[in-house]
Amino acid sequence: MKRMRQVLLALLVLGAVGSSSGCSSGAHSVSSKGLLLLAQSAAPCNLTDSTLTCCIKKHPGQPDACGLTAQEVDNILRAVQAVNEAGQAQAAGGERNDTTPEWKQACIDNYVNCVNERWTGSCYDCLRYCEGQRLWPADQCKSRR
Amino acid sequence: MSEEIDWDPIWQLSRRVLERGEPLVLTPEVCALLRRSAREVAMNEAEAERALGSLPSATELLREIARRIGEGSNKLMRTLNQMYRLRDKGDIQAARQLMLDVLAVEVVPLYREIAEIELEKLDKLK
Repeated sequence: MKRMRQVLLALLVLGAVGSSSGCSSGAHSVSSKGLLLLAQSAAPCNLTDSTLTCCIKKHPGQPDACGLTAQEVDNILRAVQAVNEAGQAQAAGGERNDTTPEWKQACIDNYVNCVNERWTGSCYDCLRYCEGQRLWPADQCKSRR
Repeated sequence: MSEEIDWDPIWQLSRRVLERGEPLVLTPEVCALLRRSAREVAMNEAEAERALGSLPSATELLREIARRIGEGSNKLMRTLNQMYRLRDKGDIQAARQLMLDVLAVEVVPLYREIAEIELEKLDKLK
């Protein structure tokens, strides 16, 4: 079951990574919308698509074949899990879960910028902090020269 | 300077006191934290020192520090998000203006530094 969850999450993660063309190994960036969709939906990516998704599928366990590092995949995976956990906590607390609260969307946006712009610090840790404190820790994760 | 900043202790203190209603106890450590944090958000040093003279004014000092940290972060992060979008669309001038707007009003040195860094990066794209 745990393995299935990992595989599902890995598939979901793929949808959060944008690629400019097919299975090329060009530059990639994390999409805020993608992360949000992943956090809200369990729909896996299309088996017939020809984006980065198919590249990863063709090279399971080899993120470098698609221009990603294992760390990048791991970071995105952990971010998705964090967002999911936050959503579950809200649902348990009776808070509406059909729309993303503004503060949470801001945390996700900041995480995406942190990854894409290669800010200082651990983007994942800052995302988790942001979710807990509702404050992006700009003293830890910020633009670098 | 910014490398040494850690706002987690003051943020946690502000949440305990201002949100959960826990009493503010002016121990030497708490006073030192308030002094340091006040300096880091560009508050007047003499005023901060005076504020530490009583519990109500120290609480207001904490509130103002937390406001500068929290509102500043939220505003800057929102603006950065807009700025990156403009930059990616090729509108460097509009992106620059957003950073200049931040610098026109922001007083917290760390947030100013971030805006200046982004401005420098944008200038390299011109």
